[in-house]
Amino acid sequence: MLITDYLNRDCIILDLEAESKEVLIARLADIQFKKHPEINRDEAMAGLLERESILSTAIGNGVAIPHARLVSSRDITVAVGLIRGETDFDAIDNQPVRMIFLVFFPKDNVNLQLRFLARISRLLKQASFNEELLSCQSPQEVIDTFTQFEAQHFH
Amino acid sequence: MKLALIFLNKIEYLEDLLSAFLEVGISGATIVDSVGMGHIISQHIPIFAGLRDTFAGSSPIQKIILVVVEEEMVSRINEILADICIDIDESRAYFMISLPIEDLFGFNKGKS
Repeated sequence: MLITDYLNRDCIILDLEAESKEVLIARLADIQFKKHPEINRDEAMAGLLERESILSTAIGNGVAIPHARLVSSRDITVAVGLIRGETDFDAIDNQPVRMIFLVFFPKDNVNLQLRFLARISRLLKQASFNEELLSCQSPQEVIDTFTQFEAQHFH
Repeated sequence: MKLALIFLNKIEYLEDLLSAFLEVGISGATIVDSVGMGHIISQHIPIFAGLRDTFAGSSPIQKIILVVVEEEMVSRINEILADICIDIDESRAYFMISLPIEDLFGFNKGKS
């Protein structure tokens, strides 16, 4: 599995304002709803908030991966947001968040969810990868950075 | 000789299993506490916390029973397990593998 395969330039924002966790989640979810009209908005928002209520998806190192498994989702879809500044996301390391990856998974495929989350969380634990992502000047650069690191570290 | 490894997810069957072992003449085994991967990732790795419901049925503590037996006893153990874990829907109650033993030192065959 390659994360790159699920990235889309239309779903990458480089200059998110540092707003509240809830606003940022809603903003990135909206981008997905426009790009993937099959996703049910109510199901998606309820799923995202339910997941956050279990434990924050801000996994440390300035990264948050809010996600939900949806009946209305046919495949993995991703929205990426790089934040201008920093925001409090209830991170497990109590550090502010600078990058958000909002992901929807098909409800009936737990293995797909496991593989995707394992891969992206491992990538985002590399400080050099995170630094490169934060320096990206265009959505295509974000995709290229993923392509480059996945080629280097995962064969 | 074979090494049978029984991964017992439903530890409530342990007592019955060990009693059945004794009944068929198996008087020695090593029992190890273990934890399944599903439990670890959903409870201890934050990004997978959303899968707690998915792995809710998995016991936090499982047992691995290691027992050295004659080859013909492996199928007998499998029968015992099937008899004890009678609920056919509990397909994840246990699984067993057996491995051939090439060398064996410090084990008194007469006592097993």
